[in-house]
Amino acid sequence: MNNFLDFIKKDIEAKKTLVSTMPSRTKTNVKKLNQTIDNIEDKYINYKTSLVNYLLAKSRSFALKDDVSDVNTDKLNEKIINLEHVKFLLNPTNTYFEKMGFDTLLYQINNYTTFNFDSLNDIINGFLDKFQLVGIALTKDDFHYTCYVHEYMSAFLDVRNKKTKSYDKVGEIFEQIYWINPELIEHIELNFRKLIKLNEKKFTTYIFELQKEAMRNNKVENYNDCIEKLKSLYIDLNLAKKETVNDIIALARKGDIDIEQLREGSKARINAYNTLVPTEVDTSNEKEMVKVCNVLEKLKINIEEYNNYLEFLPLFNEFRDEYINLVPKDDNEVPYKGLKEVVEKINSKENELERINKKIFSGKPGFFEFKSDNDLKHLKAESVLKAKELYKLYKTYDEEYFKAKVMSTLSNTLTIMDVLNLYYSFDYFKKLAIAKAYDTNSFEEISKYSEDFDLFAMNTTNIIVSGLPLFDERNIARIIANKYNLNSIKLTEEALDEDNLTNLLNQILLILRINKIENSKTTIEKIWFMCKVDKIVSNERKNGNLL
Amino acid sequence: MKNEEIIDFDLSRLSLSDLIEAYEEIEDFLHFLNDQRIEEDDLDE
Repeated sequence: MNNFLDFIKKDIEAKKTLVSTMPSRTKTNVKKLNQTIDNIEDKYINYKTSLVNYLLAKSRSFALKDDVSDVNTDKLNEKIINLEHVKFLLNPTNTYFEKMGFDTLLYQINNYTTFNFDSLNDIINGFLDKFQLVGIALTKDDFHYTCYVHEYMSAFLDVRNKKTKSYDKVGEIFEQIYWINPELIEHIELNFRKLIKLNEKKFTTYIFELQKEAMRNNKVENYNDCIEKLKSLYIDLNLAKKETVNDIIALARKGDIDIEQLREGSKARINAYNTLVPTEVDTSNEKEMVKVCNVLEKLKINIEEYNNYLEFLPLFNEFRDEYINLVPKDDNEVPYKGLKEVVEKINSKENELERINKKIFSGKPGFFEFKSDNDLKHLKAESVLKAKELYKLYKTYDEEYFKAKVMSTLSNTLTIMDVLNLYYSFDYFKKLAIAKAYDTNSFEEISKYSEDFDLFAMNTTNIIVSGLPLFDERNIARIIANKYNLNSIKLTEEALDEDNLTNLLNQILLILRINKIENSKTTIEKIWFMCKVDKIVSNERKNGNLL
Repeated sequence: MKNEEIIDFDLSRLSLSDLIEAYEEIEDFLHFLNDQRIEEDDLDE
Protein backbone atom coordinates (compact mmCIF):
# COMPACT_ATOMS: atom_id res chain seq x y z
CA MET A 1 0.00 0.00 0.00
CA ASN A 2 1.36 3.42 -0.98
CA ASN A 3 2.45 6.09 1.44
CA PHE A 4 -0.02 8.93 0.93
CA LEU A 5 2.46 11.71 1.75
CA ASP A 6 5.10 10.36 -0.66
CA PHE A 7 2.46 9.91 -3.31
CA ILE A 8 1.07 13.45 -3.15
CA LYS A 9 4.54 15.00 -2.97
CA LYS A 10 5.53 13.27 -6.24
CA ASP A 11 2.13 13.80 -7.80
CA ILE A 12 2.06 17.50 -6.92
CA GLU A 13 5.52 17.96 -8.41
CA ALA A 14 4.43 16.26 -11.63
CA LYS A 15 1.17 18.20 -11.82
CA LYS A 16 2.95 21.48 -11.19
CA THR A 17 5.29 20.76 -14.13
CA LEU A 18 2.33 19.81 -16.28
CA VAL A 19 0.37 22.96 -15.50
CA SER A 20 3.38 25.26 -15.86
CA THR A 21 4.34 23.88 -19.24
CA MET A 22 0.88 23.90 -20.82
CA PRO A 23 0.51 26.50 -23.60
CA SER A 24 -1.65 29.51 -22.80
CA ARG A 25 -1.35 31.77 -25.80
CA THR A 26 -4.74 31.19 -27.39
CA LYS A 27 -8.19 31.10 -25.93
CA THR A 28 -8.38 27.37 -26.76
CA ASN A 29 -5.09 26.80 -24.90
CA VAL A 30 -6.36 28.64 -21.87
CA LYS A 31 -9.64 26.75 -21.89
CA LYS A 32 -7.70 23.50 -21.92
CA LEU A 33 -5.37 24.71 -19.17
CA ASN A 34 -8.24 25.77 -16.94
CA GLN A 35 -10.04 22.51 -17.60
CA THR A 36 -6.94 20.58 -16.52
CA ILE A 37 -6.61 22.75 -13.38
CA ASP A 38 -10.29 22.14 -12.52
CA ASN A 39 -9.84 18.38 -12.82
CA ILE A 40 -6.75 18.35 -10.60
CA GLU A 41 -8.40 20.69 -8.11
CA ASP A 42 -11.48 18.47 -7.81
CA LYS A 43 -9.29 15.50 -7.02
CA TYR A 44 -7.27 17.36 -4.42
CA ILE A 45 -10.33 18.85 -2.77
CA ASN A 46 -11.57 15.29 -2.39
CA TYR A 47 -8.23 14.26 -0.91
CA LYS A 48 -8.39 17.15 1.51
CA THR A 49 -11.95 16.40 2.61
CA SER A 50 -11.09 12.78 3.34
CA LEU A 51 -7.87 13.77 5.08
CA VAL A 52 -9.55 16.41 7.25
CA ASN A 53 -12.20 13.89 8.33
CA TYR A 54 -9.47 11.46 9.26
CA LEU A 55 -7.53 14.15 11.18
CA LEU A 56 -10.65 15.09 13.11
CA ALA A 57 -11.45 11.52 14.10
CA LYS A 58 -7.85 10.90 15.13
CA SER A 59 -7.68 14.11 17.18
CA ARG A 60 -10.93 13.26 18.96
CA SER A 61 -9.57 9.82 19.84
CA PHE A 62 -6.70 11.52 21.75
CA ALA A 63 -8.99 13.33 24.21
CA LEU A 64 -8.44 12.27 27.82
CA LYS A 65 -11.19 11.54 30.29
CA ASP A 66 -12.23 14.51 32.44
CA ASP A 67 -10.32 14.90 35.69
CA VAL A 68 -12.29 13.56 38.58
CA SER A 69 -11.20 15.04 41.87
CA ASP A 70 -12.26 13.83 45.29
CA VAL A 71 -11.88 17.37 46.59
CA ASN A 72 -14.75 19.80 46.20
CA THR A 73 -12.92 23.05 45.45
CA ASP A 74 -16.12 25.10 45.73
CA LYS A 75 -16.57 23.94 49.31
CA LEU A 76 -12.91 24.59 50.08
CA ASN A 77 -13.19 28.09 48.64
CA GLU A 78 -16.30 28.75 50.69
CA LYS A 79 -14.52 27.65 53.88
CA ILE A 80 -11.54 29.87 53.01
CA ILE A 81 -13.75 32.91 52.39
CA ASN A 82 -15.44 32.36 55.77
CA LEU A 83 -12.15 31.95 57.60
CA GLU A 84 -10.60 34.96 55.84
CA HIS A 85 -13.51 36.96 57.24
CA VAL A 86 -12.88 35.58 60.73
CA LYS A 87 -9.18 36.44 60.33
CA PHE A 88 -10.13 39.96 59.28
CA LEU A 89 -12.35 40.35 62.34
CA LEU A 90 -9.80 38.90 64.76
CA ASN A 91 -6.78 40.73 63.31
CA PRO A 92 -4.98 41.93 66.48
CA THR A 93 -3.08 44.68 64.62
CA ASN A 94 -5.99 47.00 63.84
CA THR A 95 -9.08 48.31 65.62
CA TYR A 96 -12.87 48.54 65.24
CA PHE A 97 -12.24 51.49 62.89
CA GLU A 98 -10.61 49.35 60.18
CA LYS A 99 -12.79 46.32 60.89
CA MET A 100 -15.91 48.44 60.32
CA GLY A 101 -14.37 49.56 57.02
CA PHE A 102 -14.29 53.23 58.00
CA ASP A 103 -10.72 53.55 56.72
CA THR A 104 -11.78 52.45 53.25
CA LEU A 105 -14.64 54.98 53.23
CA LEU A 106 -12.27 57.69 54.47
CA TYR A 107 -9.92 56.93 51.61
CA GLN A 108 -12.82 57.21 49.18
CA ILE A 109 -14.14 60.49 50.57
CA ASN A 110 -10.59 61.86 50.53
CA ASN A 111 -10.51 61.12 46.82
CA TYR A 112 -13.97 62.49 46.06
CA THR A 113 -12.59 64.52 43.16
CA THR A 114 -12.11 61.25 41.26
CA PHE A 115 -15.79 60.43 41.50
CA ASN A 116 -19.02 61.94 40.27
CA PHE A 117 -21.77 63.32 42.48
CA ASP A 118 -23.63 59.96 42.66
CA SER A 119 -20.51 58.21 43.94
CA LEU A 120 -20.15 60.86 46.63
CA ASN A 121 -23.70 60.11 47.76
CA ASP A 122 -22.82 56.40 47.86
CA ILE A 123 -19.85 57.14 50.13
CA ILE A 124 -22.01 59.23 52.51
CA ASN A 125 -24.65 56.49 52.50
CA GLY A 126 -21.85 54.02 53.21
CA PHE A 127 -20.98 55.91 56.41
CA LEU A 128 -24.64 56.19 57.43
CA ASP A 129 -25.20 52.45 56.78
CA LYS A 130 -22.38 51.52 59.12
CA PHE A 131 -23.93 53.57 61.91
CA GLN A 132 -27.27 51.92 61.19
CA LEU A 133 -25.60 48.50 61.48
CA VAL A 134 -24.84 49.16 65.12
CA GLY A 135 -28.30 50.61 65.77
CA ILE A 136 -27.49 54.29 65.41
CA ALA A 137 -29.91 56.18 63.18
CA LEU A 138 -28.14 59.50 62.62
CA THR A 139 -30.34 62.58 62.30
CA LYS A 140 -29.66 66.11 61.08
CA ASP A 141 -28.94 67.13 64.68
CA ASP A 142 -25.83 64.95 64.56
CA PHE A 143 -24.41 67.04 61.74
CA HIS A 144 -23.43 70.43 63.06
CA TYR A 145 -19.70 70.48 62.37
CA THR A 146 -20.44 73.67 60.45
CA CYS A 147 -23.75 75.29 59.52
CA TYR A 148 -23.10 74.26 55.90
CA VAL A 149 -22.60 70.61 56.84
CA HIS A 150 -25.87 70.84 58.77
CA GLU A 151 -27.70 72.34 55.80
CA TYR A 152 -26.38 69.78 53.34
CA MET A 153 -26.81 66.73 55.55
CA SER A 154 -30.36 67.77 56.53
CA ALA A 155 -31.32 67.75 52.86
CA PHE A 156 -29.40 64.52 52.31
CA LEU A 157 -31.11 62.72 55.20
CA ASP A 158 -34.53 63.92 54.03
CA VAL A 159 -33.98 62.22 50.69
CA ARG A 160 -32.40 59.13 52.24
CA ASN A 161 -35.25 58.68 54.70
CA LYS A 162 -37.82 58.97 51.92
CA LYS A 163 -35.95 56.12 50.22
CA THR A 164 -36.24 57.86 46.86
CA LYS A 165 -33.32 57.45 44.59
CA SER A 166 -33.21 60.98 43.26
CA TYR A 167 -30.65 63.17 44.97
CA ASP A 168 -31.25 66.06 42.52
CA LYS A 169 -32.47 68.40 45.26
CA VAL A 170 -29.38 67.62 47.34
CA GLY A 171 -27.29 68.40 44.27
CA GLU A 172 -28.85 71.86 44.04
CA ILE A 173 -28.07 72.58 47.69
CA PHE A 174 -24.51 71.33 47.16
CA GLU A 175 -24.16 73.82 44.25
CA GLN A 176 -25.35 76.71 46.44
CA ILE A 177 -23.06 75.88 49.37
CA TYR A 178 -20.04 74.95 47.26
CA TRP A 179 -19.37 78.55 46.15
CA ILE A 180 -19.35 79.80 49.74
CA ASN A 181 -17.67 76.74 51.27
CA PRO A 182 -15.73 74.66 48.69
CA GLU A 183 -14.36 72.45 51.49
CA LEU A 184 -17.86 71.17 52.34
CA ILE A 185 -17.03 67.51 51.63
CA GLU A 186 -13.93 67.69 53.80
CA HIS A 187 -16.04 69.06 56.64
CA ILE A 188 -18.64 66.31 56.19
CA GLU A 189 -15.74 63.87 56.55
CA LEU A 190 -14.69 65.58 59.80
CA ASN A 191 -18.25 65.38 61.11
CA PHE A 192 -18.27 61.63 60.46
CA ARG A 193 -14.86 61.24 62.10
CA LYS A 194 -16.19 62.99 65.20
CA LEU A 195 -19.33 60.84 65.27
CA ILE A 196 -17.28 57.65 64.91
CA LYS A 197 -15.09 58.73 67.83
CA LEU A 198 -18.17 59.56 69.92
CA ASN A 199 -19.68 56.12 69.29
CA GLU A 200 -16.46 54.15 69.63
CA LYS A 201 -17.91 51.98 72.42
CA LYS A 202 -20.89 50.87 70.32
CA PHE A 203 -18.69 49.97 67.38
CA THR A 204 -16.25 48.07 69.59
CA THR A 205 -19.08 46.09 71.17
CA TYR A 206 -20.56 45.37 67.76
CA ILE A 207 -17.24 44.01 66.48
CA PHE A 208 -16.75 42.01 69.67
CA GLU A 209 -20.13 40.32 69.15
CA LEU A 210 -19.30 39.66 65.50
CA GLN A 211 -15.99 38.09 66.53
CA LYS A 212 -17.70 35.79 69.03
CA GLU A 213 -20.30 34.71 66.50
CA ALA A 214 -17.74 34.18 63.75
CA MET A 215 -15.50 32.10 66.03
CA ARG A 216 -18.45 29.99 67.18
CA ASN A 217 -19.78 29.41 63.64
CA ASN A 218 -16.37 28.50 62.25
CA LYS A 219 -15.11 26.55 65.30
CA VAL A 220 -12.14 28.86 65.75
CA GLU A 221 -10.46 29.33 69.15
CA ASN A 222 -8.49 32.49 68.47
CA TYR A 223 -6.55 34.42 65.81
CA ASN A 224 -3.60 31.98 65.70
CA ASP A 225 -5.94 29.02 65.48
CA CYS A 226 -7.67 30.75 62.56
CA ILE A 227 -4.33 31.29 60.78
CA GLU A 228 -3.39 27.62 61.22
CA LYS A 229 -6.73 26.43 59.90
CA LEU A 230 -6.45 28.77 56.93
CA LYS A 231 -2.94 27.54 56.13
CA SER A 232 -4.10 23.96 56.04
CA LEU A 233 -7.10 24.84 53.84
CA TYR A 234 -4.86 26.72 51.42
CA ILE A 235 -2.56 23.67 51.17
CA ASP A 236 -5.59 21.51 50.29
CA LEU A 237 -6.82 24.08 47.78
CA ASN A 238 -3.42 24.44 46.10
CA LEU A 239 -3.23 20.67 45.78
CA ALA A 240 -6.73 20.46 44.35
CA LYS A 241 -6.02 23.28 41.92
CA LYS A 242 -2.70 21.84 40.74
CA GLU A 243 -2.42 21.93 36.96
CA THR A 244 -3.48 18.65 35.33
CA VAL A 245 -2.63 17.32 31.88
CA ASN A 246 -6.16 18.23 30.81
CA ASP A 247 -5.48 21.81 31.95
CA ILE A 248 -2.29 21.87 29.86
CA ILE A 249 -4.20 20.51 26.83
CA ALA A 250 -6.86 23.19 27.28
CA LEU A 251 -4.20 25.93 27.54
CA ALA A 252 -2.44 24.67 24.42
CA ARG A 253 -5.67 24.43 22.40
CA LYS A 254 -6.67 27.94 23.46
CA GLY A 255 -3.25 29.16 22.35
CA ASP A 256 -2.32 30.35 25.86
CA ILE A 257 0.79 28.17 25.69
CA ASP A 258 2.82 27.34 22.62
CA ILE A 259 2.92 23.54 22.43
CA GLU A 260 5.72 23.74 19.85
CA GLN A 261 8.01 24.83 22.70
CA LEU A 262 7.39 21.57 24.58
CA ARG A 263 8.34 19.36 21.62
CA GLU A 264 11.63 17.53 21.62
CA GLY A 265 14.35 19.55 19.93
CA SER A 266 12.62 22.91 20.38
CA LYS A 267 14.95 25.81 21.22
CA ALA A 268 12.85 26.80 24.25
CA ARG A 269 12.97 23.25 25.63
CA ILE A 270 16.73 22.91 25.13
CA ASN A 271 17.31 26.33 26.76
CA ALA A 272 15.11 25.48 29.76
CA TYR A 273 16.93 22.22 30.43
CA ASN A 274 20.34 23.85 29.91
CA THR A 275 19.47 26.69 32.32
CA LEU A 276 18.03 24.66 35.17
CA VAL A 277 18.93 20.97 34.97
CA PRO A 278 22.51 20.00 35.82
CA THR A 279 24.36 18.16 33.03
CA GLU A 280 24.83 15.07 35.21
CA VAL A 281 21.05 14.52 35.35
CA ASP A 282 19.77 12.10 32.73
CA THR A 283 16.68 13.94 31.48
CA SER A 284 15.28 10.75 29.95
CA ASN A 285 15.37 9.03 33.34
CA GLU A 286 11.86 9.25 34.80
CA LYS A 287 12.92 8.91 38.44
CA GLU A 288 15.65 11.53 38.19
CA MET A 289 13.33 13.99 36.45
CA VAL A 290 10.56 13.50 39.03
CA LYS A 291 13.10 14.44 41.71
CA VAL A 292 14.19 17.53 39.77
CA CYS A 293 10.57 18.54 39.20
CA ASN A 294 9.71 18.28 42.90
CA VAL A 295 12.44 20.82 43.62
CA LEU A 296 11.35 23.00 40.68
CA GLU A 297 7.79 23.12 42.10
CA LYS A 298 9.19 24.69 45.27
CA LEU A 299 11.44 27.03 43.30
CA LYS A 300 8.42 28.18 41.30
CA ILE A 301 6.57 29.15 44.51
CA ASN A 302 9.68 30.96 45.82
CA ILE A 303 10.11 32.88 42.58
CA GLU A 304 6.48 33.95 42.56
CA GLU A 305 6.96 35.26 46.09
CA TYR A 306 10.23 36.97 45.12
CA ASN A 307 8.48 38.54 42.13
CA ASN A 308 5.78 39.93 44.45
CA TYR A 309 8.47 41.22 46.79
CA LEU A 310 10.18 43.04 43.92
CA GLU A 311 6.88 44.54 42.77
CA PHE A 312 6.38 46.11 46.19
CA LEU A 313 10.03 46.93 46.87
CA PRO A 314 9.41 50.69 46.36
CA LEU A 315 6.79 50.49 49.13
CA PHE A 316 9.13 48.65 51.51
CA ASN A 317 11.93 51.12 50.73
CA GLU A 318 9.60 54.05 51.38
CA PHE A 319 8.61 52.53 54.73
CA ARG A 320 12.24 51.86 55.64
CA ASP A 321 13.34 55.42 54.81
CA GLU A 322 10.41 56.85 56.77
CA TYR A 323 10.99 54.88 59.95
CA ILE A 324 14.68 53.96 60.06
CA ASN A 325 15.51 56.91 62.27
CA LEU A 326 12.70 56.07 64.69
CA VAL A 327 13.95 52.57 65.52
CA PRO A 328 14.47 52.54 69.32
CA LYS A 329 18.16 52.33 70.14
CA ASP A 330 17.88 51.65 73.88
CA ASP A 331 15.21 51.11 76.54
CA ASN A 332 15.60 54.57 78.02
CA GLU A 333 14.16 56.39 75.07
CA VAL A 334 11.40 58.91 75.69
CA PRO A 335 8.05 57.25 74.93
CA TYR A 336 6.36 58.38 71.74
CA LYS A 337 3.68 61.03 72.41
CA GLY A 338 2.88 62.40 68.94
CA LEU A 339 -0.62 60.92 68.70
CA LYS A 340 -1.67 62.07 72.18
CA GLU A 341 -0.56 65.60 71.45
CA VAL A 342 -2.47 65.91 68.21
CA VAL A 343 -5.62 64.39 69.78
CA GLU A 344 -5.47 67.07 72.48
CA LYS A 345 -5.12 69.80 69.87
CA ILE A 346 -8.08 68.40 67.91
CA ASN A 347 -10.27 68.22 71.01
CA SER A 348 -9.47 71.76 72.01
CA LYS A 349 -10.06 73.14 68.50
CA GLU A 350 -13.30 71.16 68.14
CA ASN A 351 -14.50 72.73 71.41
CA GLU A 352 -13.74 76.18 70.02
CA LEU A 353 -15.63 75.32 66.85
CA GLU A 354 -18.57 74.01 68.85
CA ARG A 355 -18.78 77.28 70.78
CA ILE A 356 -18.94 79.25 67.50
CA ASN A 357 -21.53 76.83 66.11
CA LYS A 358 -23.70 77.19 69.20
CA LYS A 359 -23.86 80.93 68.58
CA ILE A 360 -24.73 80.39 64.92
CA PHE A 361 -27.42 77.76 65.59
CA SER A 362 -29.00 79.59 68.51
CA GLY A 363 -29.01 82.87 66.61
CA LYS A 364 -27.29 84.59 69.57
CA PRO A 365 -23.66 85.78 69.35
CA GLY A 366 -23.59 86.13 73.15
CA PHE A 367 -26.29 87.13 75.54
CA PHE A 368 -27.83 89.27 72.84
CA GLU A 369 -29.43 88.69 69.44
CA PHE A 370 -27.37 89.31 66.28
CA LYS A 371 -27.25 93.00 65.56
CA SER A 372 -26.89 92.52 61.83
CA ASP A 373 -26.51 89.91 59.09
CA ASN A 374 -22.83 90.79 59.08
CA ASP A 375 -22.33 89.32 62.58
CA LEU A 376 -23.76 85.99 61.44
CA LYS A 377 -21.73 86.08 58.24
CA HIS A 378 -18.59 86.73 60.24
CA LEU A 379 -19.27 83.81 62.61
CA LYS A 380 -19.97 81.44 59.71
CA ALA A 381 -16.70 82.42 58.06
CA GLU A 382 -14.89 81.90 61.35
CA SER A 383 -16.39 78.41 61.76
CA VAL A 384 -15.29 77.44 58.24
CA LEU A 385 -11.79 78.69 59.02
CA LYS A 386 -11.67 76.61 62.22
CA ALA A 387 -12.91 73.55 60.31
CA LYS A 388 -10.16 74.12 57.76
CA GLU A 389 -7.56 74.16 60.53
CA LEU A 390 -9.09 71.00 61.95
CA TYR A 391 -8.87 69.27 58.59
CA LYS A 392 -5.13 69.91 58.61
CA LEU A 393 -4.92 68.63 62.17
CA TYR A 394 -6.77 65.44 61.20
CA LYS A 395 -4.21 64.89 58.44
CA THR A 396 -1.50 65.08 61.10
CA TYR A 397 -3.63 62.79 63.26
CA ASP A 398 -3.70 60.20 60.47
CA GLU A 399 0.06 60.29 60.16
CA GLU A 400 0.52 60.03 63.92
CA TYR A 401 -2.11 57.28 64.25
CA PHE A 402 -0.26 55.03 61.83
CA LYS A 403 3.08 56.09 63.26
CA ALA A 404 1.86 55.01 66.71
CA LYS A 405 0.90 51.60 65.29
CA VAL A 406 4.28 51.29 63.61
CA MET A 407 6.13 52.41 66.74
CA SER A 408 4.43 49.67 68.75
CA THR A 409 6.14 47.04 66.58
CA LEU A 410 9.17 48.95 65.35
CA SER A 411 12.54 47.39 66.06
CA ASN A 412 15.70 46.71 64.09
CA THR A 413 14.50 43.14 63.58
CA LEU A 414 11.29 44.18 61.82
CA THR A 415 10.68 41.87 58.85
CA ILE A 416 9.07 42.41 55.47
CA MET A 417 6.26 40.14 56.71
CA ASP A 418 5.62 42.60 59.59
CA VAL A 419 5.31 45.45 57.07
CA LEU A 420 2.97 43.31 54.96
CA ASN A 421 0.80 42.73 58.03
CA LEU A 422 0.81 46.40 58.98
CA TYR A 423 -0.28 47.68 55.59
CA TYR A 424 -2.72 44.81 55.16
CA SER A 425 -4.32 45.85 58.44
CA PHE A 426 -4.52 49.55 57.57
CA ASP A 427 -6.05 49.93 54.12
CA TYR A 428 -6.14 53.73 54.27
CA PHE A 429 -2.45 54.09 55.08
CA LYS A 430 -1.50 51.36 52.62
CA LYS A 431 -3.14 53.36 49.83
CA LEU A 432 -1.47 56.60 50.94
CA ALA A 433 1.89 54.82 51.01
CA ILE A 434 1.27 53.31 47.56
CA ALA A 435 0.48 56.75 46.14
CA LYS A 436 3.76 58.05 47.54
CA ALA A 437 5.96 55.07 46.66
CA TYR A 438 4.73 54.81 43.08
CA ASP A 439 4.27 58.55 42.65
CA THR A 440 0.69 58.28 41.42
CA ASN A 441 -2.65 59.89 42.13
CA SER A 442 -4.66 57.60 39.90
CA PHE A 443 -7.42 56.01 41.99
CA GLU A 444 -7.59 52.96 39.68
CA GLU A 445 -3.84 52.42 39.73
CA ILE A 446 -3.67 52.71 43.51
CA SER A 447 -6.64 50.34 43.93
CA LYS A 448 -4.95 47.78 41.65
CA TYR A 449 -1.66 47.98 43.58
CA SER A 450 -3.64 47.69 46.81
CA GLU A 451 -5.51 44.56 45.67
CA ASP A 452 -2.27 42.91 44.51
CA PHE A 453 -0.62 43.86 47.78
CA ASP A 454 -3.41 42.26 49.81
CA LEU A 455 -3.14 39.04 47.80
CA PHE A 456 0.60 39.01 48.46
CA ALA A 457 0.11 39.71 52.18
CA MET A 458 -2.55 36.99 52.47
CA ASN A 459 -0.50 34.34 50.69
CA THR A 460 0.16 31.55 53.14
CA THR A 461 3.01 30.13 51.04
CA ASN A 462 5.19 33.21 51.71
CA ILE A 463 8.41 31.99 53.22
CA ILE A 464 11.22 34.31 52.10
CA VAL A 465 9.63 37.51 53.45
CA SER A 466 8.80 36.02 56.85
CA GLY A 467 12.43 36.13 57.90
CA LEU A 468 13.64 38.98 55.73
CA PRO A 469 14.76 41.97 57.83
CA LEU A 470 13.63 45.36 56.57
CA PHE A 471 16.56 47.34 57.91
CA ASP A 472 19.31 44.93 56.92
CA GLU A 473 19.85 44.65 53.19
CA ARG A 474 20.26 41.13 51.90
CA ASN A 475 20.97 39.77 48.46
CA ILE A 476 17.84 37.63 48.10
CA ALA A 477 18.74 36.50 44.59
CA ARG A 478 21.99 35.06 45.93
CA ILE A 479 20.19 33.40 48.88
CA ILE A 480 17.69 31.72 46.54
CA ALA A 481 20.35 30.70 44.01
CA ASN A 482 22.59 29.19 46.71
CA LYS A 483 19.68 27.29 48.26
CA TYR A 484 18.70 25.68 44.97
CA ASN A 485 22.28 24.97 43.93
CA LEU A 486 22.41 22.85 47.09
CA ASN A 487 19.27 21.07 45.83
CA SER A 488 20.99 20.23 42.52
CA ILE A 489 19.27 22.88 40.45
CA LYS A 490 21.37 25.04 38.14
CA LEU A 491 20.44 28.60 39.07
CA THR A 492 22.43 31.80 38.77
CA GLU A 493 21.89 35.17 40.40
CA GLU A 494 21.53 36.70 36.92
CA ALA A 495 18.60 34.38 36.16
CA LEU A 496 16.89 35.97 39.17
CA ASP A 497 17.30 39.53 37.87
CA GLU A 498 13.96 41.31 37.85
CA ASP A 499 13.97 41.47 34.03
CA ASN A 500 14.71 37.74 33.72
CA LEU A 501 12.16 36.44 36.24
CA THR A 502 9.25 35.95 33.82
CA ASN A 503 11.55 34.02 31.51
CA LEU A 504 12.81 31.88 34.39
CA LEU A 505 9.25 31.13 35.55
CA ASN A 506 8.30 30.15 32.00
CA GLN A 507 11.30 27.83 31.80
CA ILE A 508 10.34 26.13 35.07
CA LEU A 509 6.74 25.77 33.90
CA LEU A 510 7.93 24.31 30.62
CA ILE A 511 9.96 21.57 32.33
CA LEU A 512 7.16 20.84 34.81
CA ARG A 513 4.60 20.55 32.01
CA ILE A 514 6.83 18.31 29.88
CA ASN A 515 7.35 16.06 32.89
CA LYS A 516 3.65 15.97 33.68
CA ILE A 517 2.72 15.01 30.12
CA GLU A 518 5.48 12.44 29.84
CA ASN A 519 4.17 10.72 32.96
CA SER A 520 0.59 10.66 31.71
CA LYS A 521 -1.51 8.68 29.26
CA THR A 522 -0.87 11.12 26.44
CA THR A 523 2.18 12.54 24.67
CA ILE A 524 3.39 15.98 23.63
CA GLU A 525 3.08 14.90 19.98
CA LYS A 526 -0.57 14.00 20.44
CA ILE A 527 -1.30 17.38 22.07
CA TRP A 528 0.64 19.15 19.32
CA PHE A 529 -1.44 17.21 16.75
CA MET A 530 -4.72 18.16 18.47
CA CYS A 531 -3.71 21.85 18.35
CA LYS A 532 -2.77 21.61 14.68
CA VAL A 533 -6.07 19.90 13.85
CA ASP A 534 -7.96 22.63 15.75
CA LYS A 535 -6.31 25.24 13.54
CA ILE A 536 -7.05 23.23 10.38
CA VAL A 537 -10.68 22.82 11.37
CA SER A 538 -11.03 26.52 12.08
CA ASN A 539 -9.42 27.33 8.72
CA GLU A 540 -11.73 24.93 6.87
CA ARG A 541 -14.76 26.36 8.66
CA LYS A 542 -13.70 29.89 7.80
CA ASN A 543 -13.54 28.91 4.13
CA GLY A 544 -16.93 27.23 4.33
CA ASN A 545 -15.55 23.74 3.73
CA LEU A 546 -16.70 22.38 7.08
CA LEU A 547 -19.83 22.87 9.12
CA MET B 1 -6.05 6.53 -11.82
CA LYS B 2 -7.67 4.22 -9.31
CA ASN B 3 -4.58 4.23 -7.06
CA GLU B 4 -4.98 7.98 -6.62
CA GLU B 5 -8.15 7.54 -4.56
CA ILE B 6 -7.41 8.27 -0.91
CA ILE B 7 -9.33 5.17 0.03
CA ASP B 8 -6.39 3.18 -1.33
CA PHE B 9 -4.00 4.77 1.13
CA ASP B 10 -3.64 3.61 4.68
CA LEU B 11 -3.48 6.94 6.54
CA SER B 12 -2.87 5.16 9.81
CA ARG B 13 0.62 4.35 8.54
CA LEU B 14 1.51 8.03 8.58
CA SER B 15 3.02 9.65 11.63
CA LEU B 16 1.11 12.54 13.21
CA SER B 17 3.49 15.10 11.76
CA ASP B 18 3.28 13.47 8.29
CA LEU B 19 -0.51 13.73 8.42
CA ILE B 20 -0.28 17.45 9.13
CA GLU B 21 2.38 17.84 6.44
CA ALA B 22 0.09 16.11 3.94
CA TYR B 23 -2.67 18.60 4.72
CA GLU B 24 -0.27 21.53 4.33
CA GLU B 25 1.06 20.18 1.00
CA ILE B 26 -2.48 19.90 -0.36
CA GLU B 27 -3.44 23.36 0.90
CA ASP B 28 -0.37 24.93 -0.73
CA PHE B 29 -0.99 23.05 -3.95
CA LEU B 30 -4.61 24.21 -4.09
CA HIS B 31 -3.40 27.80 -3.75
CA PHE B 32 -0.84 27.20 -6.48
CA LEU B 33 -3.55 25.85 -8.79
CA ASN B 34 -5.71 28.84 -8.13
CA ASP B 35 -2.87 31.17 -9.07
CA GLN B 36 -2.28 29.36 -12.35
CA ARG B 37 -5.84 29.84 -13.58
CA ILE B 38 -6.15 32.43 -16.40
CA GLU B 39 -9.30 34.49 -17.06
CA GLU B 40 -10.57 33.39 -20.49
CA ASP B 41 -12.27 36.74 -21.26
CA ASP B 42 -8.94 38.55 -21.17
CA LEU B 43 -7.63 36.79 -24.26
CA ASP B 44 -8.35 37.26 -28.00
CA GLU B 45 -8.80 34.20 -30.20
